[in-house]
Amino acid sequence: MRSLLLTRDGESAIRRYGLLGIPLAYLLVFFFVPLALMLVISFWRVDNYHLVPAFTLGNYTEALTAPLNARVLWRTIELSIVVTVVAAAIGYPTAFFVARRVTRFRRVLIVLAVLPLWTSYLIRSFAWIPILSRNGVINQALLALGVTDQPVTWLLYSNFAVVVALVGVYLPYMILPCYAVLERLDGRLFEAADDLGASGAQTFWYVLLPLSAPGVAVGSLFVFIMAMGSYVTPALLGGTSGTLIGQRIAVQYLDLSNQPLGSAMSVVIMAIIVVLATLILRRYSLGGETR
Amino acid sequence: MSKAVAMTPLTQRGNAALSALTGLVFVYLYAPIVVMVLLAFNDSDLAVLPLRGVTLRWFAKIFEDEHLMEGLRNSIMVAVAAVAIAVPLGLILSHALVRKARGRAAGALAAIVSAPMQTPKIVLATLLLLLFSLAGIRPSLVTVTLSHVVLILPFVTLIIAARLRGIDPSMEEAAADLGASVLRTWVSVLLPLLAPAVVAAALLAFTISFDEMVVSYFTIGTESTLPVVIWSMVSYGYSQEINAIGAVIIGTTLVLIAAAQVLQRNQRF
Amino acid sequence: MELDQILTNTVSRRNFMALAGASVLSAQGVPNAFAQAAPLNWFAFGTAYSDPYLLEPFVKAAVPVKETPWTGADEMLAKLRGGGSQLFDCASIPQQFVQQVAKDGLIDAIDLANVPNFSAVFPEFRTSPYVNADGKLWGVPWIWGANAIAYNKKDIPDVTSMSALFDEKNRGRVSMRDDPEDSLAVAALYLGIKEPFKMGDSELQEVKKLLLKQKPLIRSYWKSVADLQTLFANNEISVAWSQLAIIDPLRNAKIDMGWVWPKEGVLGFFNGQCTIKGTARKKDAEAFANFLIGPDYGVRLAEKTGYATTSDLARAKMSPDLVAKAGIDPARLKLLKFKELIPNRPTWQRTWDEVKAG
Repeated sequence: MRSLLLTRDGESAIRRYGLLGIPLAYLLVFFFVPLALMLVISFWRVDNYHLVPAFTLGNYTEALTAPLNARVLWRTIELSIVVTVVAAAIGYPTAFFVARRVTRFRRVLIVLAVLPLWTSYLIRSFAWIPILSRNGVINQALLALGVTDQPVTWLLYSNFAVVVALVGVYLPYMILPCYAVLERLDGRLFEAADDLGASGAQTFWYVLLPLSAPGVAVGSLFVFIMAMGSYVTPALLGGTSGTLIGQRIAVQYLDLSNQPLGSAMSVVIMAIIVVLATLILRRYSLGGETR
Repeated sequence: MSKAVAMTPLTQRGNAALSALTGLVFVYLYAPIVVMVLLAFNDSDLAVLPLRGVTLRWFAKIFEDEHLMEGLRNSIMVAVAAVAIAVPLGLILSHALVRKARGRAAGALAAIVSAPMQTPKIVLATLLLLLFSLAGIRPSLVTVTLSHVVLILPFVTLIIAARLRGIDPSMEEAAADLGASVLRTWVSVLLPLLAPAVVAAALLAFTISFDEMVVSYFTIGTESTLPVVIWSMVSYGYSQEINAIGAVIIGTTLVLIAAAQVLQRNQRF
Repeated sequence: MELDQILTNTVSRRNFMALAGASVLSAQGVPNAFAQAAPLNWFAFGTAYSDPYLLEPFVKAAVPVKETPWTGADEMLAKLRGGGSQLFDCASIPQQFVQQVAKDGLIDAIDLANVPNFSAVFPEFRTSPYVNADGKLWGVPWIWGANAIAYNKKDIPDVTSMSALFDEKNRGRVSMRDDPEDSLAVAALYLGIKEPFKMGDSELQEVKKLLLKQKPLIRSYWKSVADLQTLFANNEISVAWSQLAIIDPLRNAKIDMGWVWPKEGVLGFFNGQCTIKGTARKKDAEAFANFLIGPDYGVRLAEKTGYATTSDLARAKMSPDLVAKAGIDPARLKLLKFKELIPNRPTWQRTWDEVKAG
């Protein structure tokens, strides 16, 4: 037992990890113990709104193979990927500009980028309606400019509206980690690249992107996970474009008291997320150095 | 420090394109907020543009609305408390993650830290409700706060860790070699270097907690937080008050930030 | 107790927080000198019904009321079963759930001696089997209404039938509620199914077919009253299966809204004001129930929200205009199909989810 607590150089684990026990205990109590319970429950079944201990794979079969659930799962994954890619495509250049091209108002700008999060996400989702609707701001502009003579209806109650609103809501989560990494890159790196005759594109590919990849990775992970779990905004702005997995899980827990099926669905999407996260964290060694 | 953030060279065209994109992104981020503020002054019961006239009645109403005011107070209390707990925990975790853990231990620790973030909120909410019921704890703002800590801890940790990874470990080693205690090393070396990340993490964590609906809903007792109040307001009726409260919050935040900026400039540190 | 039993008991929604409250209960039972000053905890829907103006007469005369809002009937039930009974003194419960909550031992029968206004409640509600069982009253009916059809008269001058919701002419201009209890029942009534809440599998299949056929007509399904109101306000739809709450604000904004009970039938609801079992404030809770069906509250309710009281005392004090606006006409009560507890609820949910994802 004692040897387990000792690292190779004989330092005691407690000394080495210091106060680490406190946050770990917190997560153990408030997350992992109930999580283990949920895993167990995903193999149980429900009888007349009561949980019955059992060992059945039926919940997983239903979560993965029932046509409804399979379709909903795919749609959720597709949508989350689109949202993440769009957020990265516009969030990264923004973070770069603020971090590397602005001096005086850099802090102000980055705070402004996060500031929208201070407003209820529900209110912000609602606010897209008067912008995108049939007689909304955009359609009024399009009509006035003569671009179209009929209001464009696919702007709202469509996948487009869902992507616009979700990217808008999650963008700060992309900008912030990108900024955090970009802001502290050593400027001399770019001077050196320049001195060595690298083109702008080369500097971007071989210097900037590899060095800032951890920020993009963390940001993308944040956005992807939040998109996977979203359901209020898609329900509000998606029209008849379909359901998302978050909605299905909520229904199982809240409306049907079918916690085993809800748990199995949760385990499925968590498995997808965990695989992705592990790959990303390992790739960018956010989990520690591989020195 | 200032050298590290020297401007990155860029062609004029590139710079123009980037600044235009950044401008558009900010327009995009603020479009719903501008609409919200406009609607807060709109003399109409409906969320429609253009404005039908200007009124202050929605603002008058929110200050009379006990539910909203109480929700606002509760949300601020919960968010402040949750951040105050999560930041120290996140500092310890990120330091262990980046500096101490190696190999397998590092992978395991990273997985542990990020796990709550990878859990759909609806699941997290159910898990926490289950826990509090097992432990016989009455749902209240305390349980909401404890739950929010689980929700925000991964964000806090990963943001701080991302910055810590860019800080040369030799600075801490040098401090240790010079005989500084662990505490001293933290206060004199690490915290100043980590300050921007800690502020960013705390800000983000505050906003996540402040805006959290699902987890709060499952763990509240008789005291509601603001998002829960707003959600129940829109479920069974709809008043443009919600735009007014949104406008008040964003306005207050702007004033606070401007004040902080002025203070910082005067202190010249 | 075995571990699995402990888990079963705890995880079960019925008992989610029952343990939580046990410790608190004893503390609540202790007589407290400040008990009178403490607010009465009321678990109810929305926030409009506990507006200070509405509650003012009661608060002045008796005790303050603190409302905790729930946002959906299923969530309400989950919280109450989970031990919310330790947090609240009284709750407003939709009619179809009152019996079940009583059976679960979460509420107490009403002591009618403390609710003298009850004799003024419309007889249809007073004797309703939803709230009367075992010779006892379990909830005081205090608010009622109907979900029916709302339409914009500019687009459709006159609606009398549900066919407007299924008419190809209204393609892309229709909204239905994102809720199986409403939308499946509406489709069933349209198909002439007499007992929509007792539908079997084959009838559910028919209903599903109809709703899938309707889908191209749908602009969006609405989840909250805010969604629905916004759909009309922004000229996105012409007709919807709707709640009454949206009509007033839209008319105030000069949108010419029609509201009609279609000939195929209307879905009715009412709420029973119930006393939570074990509350130390049973007297106050019953006094509050009495207030909700008294002469003041119903008038203010109609003024502020457009919703209907169940009380003749309040109706007697209202102008004919206000009575008409709130639709307080007991003669039309028999047209209502009150929502019932659905035995095969998971199948309903699945059917609705398949429509939405289809």
